[in-house]
Amino acid sequence: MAVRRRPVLGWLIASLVLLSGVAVAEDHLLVVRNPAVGGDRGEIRFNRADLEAMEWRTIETGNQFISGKSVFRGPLVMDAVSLIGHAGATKVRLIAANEYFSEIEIAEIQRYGAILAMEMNGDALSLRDFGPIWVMYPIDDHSELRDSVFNNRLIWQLEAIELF
Amino acid sequence: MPFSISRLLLFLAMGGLISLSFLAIQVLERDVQAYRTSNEEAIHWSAAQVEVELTRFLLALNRYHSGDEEVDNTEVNRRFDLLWSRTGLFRSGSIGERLRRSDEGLGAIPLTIATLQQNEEAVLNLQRGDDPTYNLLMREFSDLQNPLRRLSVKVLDREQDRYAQVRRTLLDSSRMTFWVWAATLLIAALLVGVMFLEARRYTRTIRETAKLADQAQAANRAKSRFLTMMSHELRTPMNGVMGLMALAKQSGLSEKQLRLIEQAERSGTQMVGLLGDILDFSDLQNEKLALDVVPFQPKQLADAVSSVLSGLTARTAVKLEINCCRSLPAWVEGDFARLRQTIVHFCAYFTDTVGTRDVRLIFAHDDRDLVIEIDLEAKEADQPGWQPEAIFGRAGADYGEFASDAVGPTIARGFVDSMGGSVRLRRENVGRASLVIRVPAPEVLPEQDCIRVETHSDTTALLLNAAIDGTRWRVWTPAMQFSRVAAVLLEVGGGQEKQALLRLRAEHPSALIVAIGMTEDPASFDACESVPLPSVTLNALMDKCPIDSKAAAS
Repeated sequence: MAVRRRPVLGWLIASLVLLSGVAVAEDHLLVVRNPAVGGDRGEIRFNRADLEAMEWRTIETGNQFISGKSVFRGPLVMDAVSLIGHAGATKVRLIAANEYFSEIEIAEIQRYGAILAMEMNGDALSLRDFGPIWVMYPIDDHSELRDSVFNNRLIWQLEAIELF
Repeated sequence: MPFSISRLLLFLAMGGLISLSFLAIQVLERDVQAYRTSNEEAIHWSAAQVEVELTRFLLALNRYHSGDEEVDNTEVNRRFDLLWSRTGLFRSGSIGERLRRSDEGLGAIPLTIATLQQNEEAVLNLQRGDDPTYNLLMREFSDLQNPLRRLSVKVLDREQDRYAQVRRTLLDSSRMTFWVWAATLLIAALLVGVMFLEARRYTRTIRETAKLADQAQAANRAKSRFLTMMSHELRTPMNGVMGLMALAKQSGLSEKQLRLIEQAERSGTQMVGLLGDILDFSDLQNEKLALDVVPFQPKQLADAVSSVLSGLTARTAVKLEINCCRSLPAWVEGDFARLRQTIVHFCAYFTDTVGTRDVRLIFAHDDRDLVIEIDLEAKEADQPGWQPEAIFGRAGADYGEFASDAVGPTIARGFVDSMGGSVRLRRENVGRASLVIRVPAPEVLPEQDCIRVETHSDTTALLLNAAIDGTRWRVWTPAMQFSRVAAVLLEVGGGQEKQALLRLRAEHPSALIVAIGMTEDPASFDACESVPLPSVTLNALMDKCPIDSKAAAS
């Protein structure tokens, strides 16, 4: 994985969004919510440009949905979650476009460095193709991630993250 | 190797363990496979996803066409894309491979993909109120419900079969593991039984061996005791016979009769010597030989050997030469009698048995050891005849195996071994061989003759010691083992005078006993003096000493 730089632009964008109180609703790909944080500050919406402005990581791995290994790129899940603040939350609910969801410990996401994969082998992911956001773990780098319980956490067509 | 039940059981146990190991590995492999199978993603949810998204798409389509404001064309296309994405599950990965296998014979997914591709544009451009397009879409996509339902059911059945297989495998593995453990315990019990049997057998063997060893030792001891007893018993009548023959010689016999008596005497002497050899052999074999280590003069040893061998050499016309090297000290410490016996045994063997006619004895010393070299004529190694290596080629005495005519050399080697010495054969000159006997015999320096002081008063002792210091004598102490007490100065008047006198006479029979002080019985003493005793007086007194101290000091 690449060395992380401080996502200055991402912080700036998030600040502008929070201060303006206006959600860029039409093109938003991802919504991050924390009910424990009150008012407008409890929700951040990201469009493609917002996510592309954040620091991206690379994971090369295989999983049960693809043949062989592929190269996935995208920002860290924790980079998006950190912008809203935990406020005591220990878990996240990752919600897909078809309302399927998975609940994961925040500590686990931090430990394994899961990313919001937006590219696979250089091509942008689309709704028809596990995208536009596919939560990806570095499965090949950790033998314990090969258990099928982690397969269920590879949420594709991710639309929202809720902290609780 | 004799057949043994325990060995057979051991082989069976080992075979059983190896077989069980292979079985256990097989069970483990099956469990690993079952684990891998159970770890695979459950695909019935993935299969049902297509059916679910189809239903949602049809619902969105219906709501859009019905005028529901919450559902617009974007939402319909979104549902269309979600349905499309679900067919992607069948395309790649291990999940896709298993789903495709389930769809074999049904073709639900290719049909779905074809329907999606055919109607993509229609969905994209669908408007509210466009009944024909709506009806077409509803019909086309509704026809997919049955094939997709059949696919879902088939996938569910296959998944249930898969898990049932995993359960069966795990159950079989549990049973097999149980039997493997039971068999292992049984084999372990068998091995314990085998070990017990073997331990009992070994204990029995050890006990029997110990018993046999005890019996052998007892037999050996009995034999030694018999030999010793018989030798002693035979010696007595032999000594009697020798004595009678000595008496007979004095009774005015003719020359012929004298020769016969002398011959009988020689045989008798030989017999007595043999009896002595038997006793020595027995002691050597049982490691009971006691050495008598005393100071002696090596020249006396040479003289003693010459004296013993003179009769032998006179009889057999053997040329015997004895030389003492300058390096020989005056006194050494060792077992005089055994050394004499050793040399006599070797020389007797060479002259009597081997037939050597020329023997040279050389006595020498090298700081620590007495070295006696017996040089004799001997055939070369490539010539027929007696070879000294046959007897002296071994490292030490072998009491179990020796030639019948080599008892003497065997006993002699035993003596040398007991004294911590060695016997080596050397061939340096043609036609000659040397037997080098080396025995530890450190040089002993005899101490000067002394005067012993016996007092019951420290003051008197001091005065007498001072008087002795002024003479050529030394004061005797118990540590002076090799010194001779020339005189004893005994302080009288203590009540124990007579007892002390008797004791000192017994300890030093040839010493001058001088009474120091007033005695009631001056005749019992060799001289009477009083303190202070001048050294001059003491010197004069010692001139009367019966021991030749001047000769001893030189």
